[in-house]
Amino acid sequence: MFIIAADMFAVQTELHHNMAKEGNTMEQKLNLKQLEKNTVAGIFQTGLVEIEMGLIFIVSTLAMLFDDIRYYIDILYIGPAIFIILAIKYIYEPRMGVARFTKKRVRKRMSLMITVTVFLVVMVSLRFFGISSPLFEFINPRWIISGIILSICIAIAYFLTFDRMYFYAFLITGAFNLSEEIRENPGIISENAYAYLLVAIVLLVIGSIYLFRFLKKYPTSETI
Amino acid sequence: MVNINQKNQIDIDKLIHEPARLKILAQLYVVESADFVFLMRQTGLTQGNVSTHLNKLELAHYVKIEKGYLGKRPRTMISLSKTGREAFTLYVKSMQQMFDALIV
Repeated sequence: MFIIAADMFAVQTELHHNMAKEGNTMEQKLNLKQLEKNTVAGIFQTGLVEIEMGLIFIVSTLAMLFDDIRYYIDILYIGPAIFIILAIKYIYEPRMGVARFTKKRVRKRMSLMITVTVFLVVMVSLRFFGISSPLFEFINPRWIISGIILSICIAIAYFLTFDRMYFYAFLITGAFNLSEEIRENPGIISENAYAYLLVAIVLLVIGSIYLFRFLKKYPTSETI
Repeated sequence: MVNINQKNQIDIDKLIHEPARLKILAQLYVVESADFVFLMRQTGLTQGNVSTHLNKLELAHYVKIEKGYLGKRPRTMISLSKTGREAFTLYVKSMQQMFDALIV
């Protein structure tokens, strides 16, 4: 019995040693819930999501800078979407493999999509119909939109187990407020779009560092 | 229900108890199905190790292995069978019971 116990302890230690190497907590038990979370969050260790978000903010910056041809620039939003699809197919999957997640996880993702959609509908409704509402005599719409942006980002972080997104939530909300501040009180920086460019640069730098580390750590399955 | 043998000791499934197989089964337990590369990466085992252990688990009907192609590349998808899922749950319960019974 003690041999079995010692063996089990070895398994646990080994599993958690691997988890610790991945930057997770080192608990003295086989935590299946944590294992599932780590498995789902694998894509976020590659930096590809940050690069995608960075590209989205670059397109946003361009759309704000060239407002007169905005409709043509909006087409460029398809670029980040294509990027992430191709990156998963040609960078992530050949290196990390493919897994189909449980129904519970799929339901969690569905909850995220519903939550984000609700927040977006509220935000768009406020933008188009609500500005003249008497509510805004008491509350600055900027704070409501800030709250919605923060909520969307935190929902993404929570439902997708993407911990760095909590930091990006504040970064993006901060950029929105900075952009509004510049628009209301233009100073040395006259163009409010640069606030979003700043976020794009931060995201692209972080994403590139993570991607470089990922590519170095994991060769493609053909070279294994 | 945890198996208790005639000597009043808890029966541990030796097939699952091996550390590498335990890692593979734990990983498969938290997903619907996964391919070979995914298991290698998540468990940190070599190609040969994963292959050998999967054969043993397949013989015991604990895992289902489906070989297919994605485009021109072969892709092997592995999932935990109903028997495997039950065996793993029983193993975890047995181990928990055993540790609970340990007096330190």
